[in-house]
Amino acid sequence: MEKRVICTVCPNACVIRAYQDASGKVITEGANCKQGEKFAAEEMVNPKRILTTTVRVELDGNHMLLPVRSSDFINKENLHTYMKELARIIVKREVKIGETVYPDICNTGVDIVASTDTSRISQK
Amino acid sequence: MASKKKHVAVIGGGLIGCAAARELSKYDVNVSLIEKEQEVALGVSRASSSIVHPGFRYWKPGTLRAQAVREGLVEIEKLSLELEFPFSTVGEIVVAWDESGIEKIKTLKQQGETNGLTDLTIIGPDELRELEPNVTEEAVAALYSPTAAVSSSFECTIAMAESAELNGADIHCNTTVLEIMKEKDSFIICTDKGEIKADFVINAAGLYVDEIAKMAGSRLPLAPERGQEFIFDKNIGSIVKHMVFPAKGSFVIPTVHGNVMMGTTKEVPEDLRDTQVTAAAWKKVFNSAQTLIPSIRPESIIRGFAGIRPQPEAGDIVIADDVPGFISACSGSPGIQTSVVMAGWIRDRLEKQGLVLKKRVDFVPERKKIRSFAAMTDKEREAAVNEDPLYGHVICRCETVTEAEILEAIKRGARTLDGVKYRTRAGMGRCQGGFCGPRIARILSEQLGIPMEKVQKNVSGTFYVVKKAKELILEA
Amino acid sequence: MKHIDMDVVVIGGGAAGLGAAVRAKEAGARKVGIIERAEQLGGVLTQCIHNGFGLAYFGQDMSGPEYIHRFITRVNELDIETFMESMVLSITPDRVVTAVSRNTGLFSVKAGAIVLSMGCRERTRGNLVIPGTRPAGVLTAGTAQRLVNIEGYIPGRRTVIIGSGDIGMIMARRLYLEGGRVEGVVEIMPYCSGLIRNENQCLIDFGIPLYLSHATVRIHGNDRVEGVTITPIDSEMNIIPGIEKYIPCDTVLLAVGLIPENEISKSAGIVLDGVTKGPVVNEKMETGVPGIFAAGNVVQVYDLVDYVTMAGEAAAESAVDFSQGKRFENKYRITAGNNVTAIGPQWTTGESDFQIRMRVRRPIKKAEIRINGQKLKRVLGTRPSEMMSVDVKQEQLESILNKDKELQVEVLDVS
Repeated sequence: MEKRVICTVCPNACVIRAYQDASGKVITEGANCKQGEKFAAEEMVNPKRILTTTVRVELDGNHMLLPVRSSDFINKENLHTYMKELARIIVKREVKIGETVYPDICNTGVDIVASTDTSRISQK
Repeated sequence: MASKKKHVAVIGGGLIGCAAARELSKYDVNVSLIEKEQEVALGVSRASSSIVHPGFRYWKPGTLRAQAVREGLVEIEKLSLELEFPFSTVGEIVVAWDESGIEKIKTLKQQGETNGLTDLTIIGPDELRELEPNVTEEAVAALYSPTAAVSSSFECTIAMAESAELNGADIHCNTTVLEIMKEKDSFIICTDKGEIKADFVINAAGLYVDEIAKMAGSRLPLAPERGQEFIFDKNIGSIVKHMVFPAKGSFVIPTVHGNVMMGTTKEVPEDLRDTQVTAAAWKKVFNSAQTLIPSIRPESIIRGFAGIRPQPEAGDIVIADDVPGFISACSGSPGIQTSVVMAGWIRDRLEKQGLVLKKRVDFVPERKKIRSFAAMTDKEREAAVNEDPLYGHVICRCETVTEAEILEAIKRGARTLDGVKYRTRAGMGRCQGGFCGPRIARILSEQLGIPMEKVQKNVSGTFYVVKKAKELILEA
Repeated sequence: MKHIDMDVVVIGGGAAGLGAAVRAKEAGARKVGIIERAEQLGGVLTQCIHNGFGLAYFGQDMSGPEYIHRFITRVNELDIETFMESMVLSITPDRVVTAVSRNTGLFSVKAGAIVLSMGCRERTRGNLVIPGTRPAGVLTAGTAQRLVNIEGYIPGRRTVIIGSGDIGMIMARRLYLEGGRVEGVVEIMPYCSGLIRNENQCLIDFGIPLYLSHATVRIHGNDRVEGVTITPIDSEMNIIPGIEKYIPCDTVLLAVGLIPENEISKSAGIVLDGVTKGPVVNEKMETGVPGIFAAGNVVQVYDLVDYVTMAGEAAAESAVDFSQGKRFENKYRITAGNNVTAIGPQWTTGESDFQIRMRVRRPIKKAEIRINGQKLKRVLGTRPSEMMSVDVKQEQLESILNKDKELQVEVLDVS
């Protein structure tokens, strides 16, 4: 397993390569400081992201999209699975910003919450 | 017993087809226009420089072109008032800066005079500078033609089609001609939407005129020619007030919509659909235009486009009537003014071929254009919004086009984003449809009762979006 | 025609406008109004559903809609009047705004002071004259973002993105996550023009190739896009012949730059800066027309919305002062020297501490910002894509002016 990242810890923006050696130890190449090494290692072993997307909403016959986000960092490797899951749902009730529209997505312990009120979405 | 009304079918909804349909709608005949795209004016007639020539370039005595250009100049101006499509007599200046240039403009003057023009003058540098202060300092003389004009090929086509329809012509869009069969004294036109029986057929199919002619056993071979042109942002102002041509090279002209445009080229396209804009042409045209008007800048360009001119191989306007009852017509360029003259000639040929033409007393020559909010005074705007609140809903921010105008365009036949654009100017401005595009697409989807995925930019297959969000990911 | 009087009128209800309207009310203006052409407040942030907003202003990592939500709530709490789906048609130098909407009809607003916050439009394919045919499927990235996130439609199945600006990279990720194929991002410069974080999280994360130092030389396709031809360029921006690459795709998104939208500003006689394309302003955010202020992307393109909000707030404070009788006079000119471009403000009244915004012309690892030769600040890792700023104290002014009473700002490479 290996990963290439551009480090964002400081403006030097080192390009770091992280990989696992034969014994499974994480090695990094290209970092100029300990924080950079840690950043790259994390990115390889446990890359986490905030997922942001939209979900379908149906209210009073109007079809709209509600912007949503994951309530916490979520493993990056399965983003497509989460996206597919969220593509299936249609929210059919009024929701306020921060409310959960999909709890514990794919057993991650992370909820998907509304980024705004349904009353504030463009009616188009 | 009164004989049945004769039916004339026109194939092709471009300048010639719509001009012919309108002309014939003045008479007691049934007129149908068959167009393969969703709207008229989506073929050749949507992409041109729209120059209306006085007649010193197309001048050869004995040619139909010279005659049509000369007669058409007067007729088309009259028509532009009747049908309310844009027409602006800006005048033309052909600039010379060396011996060969001066020779050329003298030749053009002679040619013009041969073709009946009496108002051409050669002017010196002072008068030239007064007329066009932004022309290169190197210019020493120019040919000045006050009657040259600019118009809009697609608006003219659309206006003629609407007028024909107002006067009873049937316009069948989305209808492709597949085969033409002769049955006794009439024709059966087989289309993808069924058969159309007609006593006479006019083939005005533009780039496909030869293909259609073959179906009836006739021919009208073409030598198609591509022309590329580039439009400047309105914010450069009226850098030229007249059409400015060099003795040899690219022109810089005002358009009828208030932009400035430069062009053109004469290239052989790879095929009939090859409307690409090339880096080579862009460089060549810009350099040439900049020699003429040194202050133009490349950053001011907002759009490049290309069109293919259906130039008849014969080198002149062709009206082929070798197959009785079937008339093929093609003019190449210039198209706008020649189309109305040719409509008259086609009518005369039909009469010669036995079509009895009785004038209708109820023919309505006028056609009103869509009222433009942008062009109104504050008082007119107030009144318009009071009458129709949708005149208060601006959709195209750059050209200030309202929802009322867009709905009217759809009512009058717009089915595509470009169709709305050609009828209202929505999408023609600085942002080139970036802001209004999604909104107009939605309006088209709602008004036409079609899903957004079926909304097209212009011709068949030019879908704006491909899939509803979420459907694509669930497909995978 | 309806005539309305207001103390402060804000044109455009995006990040800058919302910041301005809220601050204007907080600063004591009685009647404050926002004229907005869309159906909702928020400007482009309503369609920027991704996170990365609010780190500086709120100390939180928020999505565009979440960021805007805070301000819209304040607008409602503060009783700020909003004219939605209203298009401003013109502004006079004596601050009469004429607008139209289907609900109100044609109306005019006489303003004590105006804050212009119309934002930007996107540079189009036509501006670049990218050769080729003009098939359906060529869109600017922002238009595509609106289609995907608001209208709910995917523009295409296989996309190539021209331009590595943030909106381009954001849309690369968005389309990828929504099930599309993104064949690559094509960038003419030898470096990515957006934030590194986006290069990581939008491109590297998903294996989307970034073609640096590549030009797009042709768009193919008669009806819909069929592909693009790209080619590597050398350091002089010349095409290296013989090694072009054809990438099949059905959609081309353009992320090739933003242009401040100032047509209305021009109608008021406001003079624009040829480089920023926005109004010439002083540190009070006042344009050349007294009482008309401007803030945010309409003045110059910003990178972080947090600073746009702050700019709106600063403009509002000045606007309220003006509406209450204060007048400003430009004293010292600010100009761009070595390595500096897109500088703002272009004037200072000399009355206050203020901040100069700018961009470097090329990436500089270790940069030193100087005014008239005096070192003011060192910045690491500067890039043209990241706006820089330097604070100037009012008491410093006299000592750093040059003989022309100007502040010439330059950036030195001290790497």
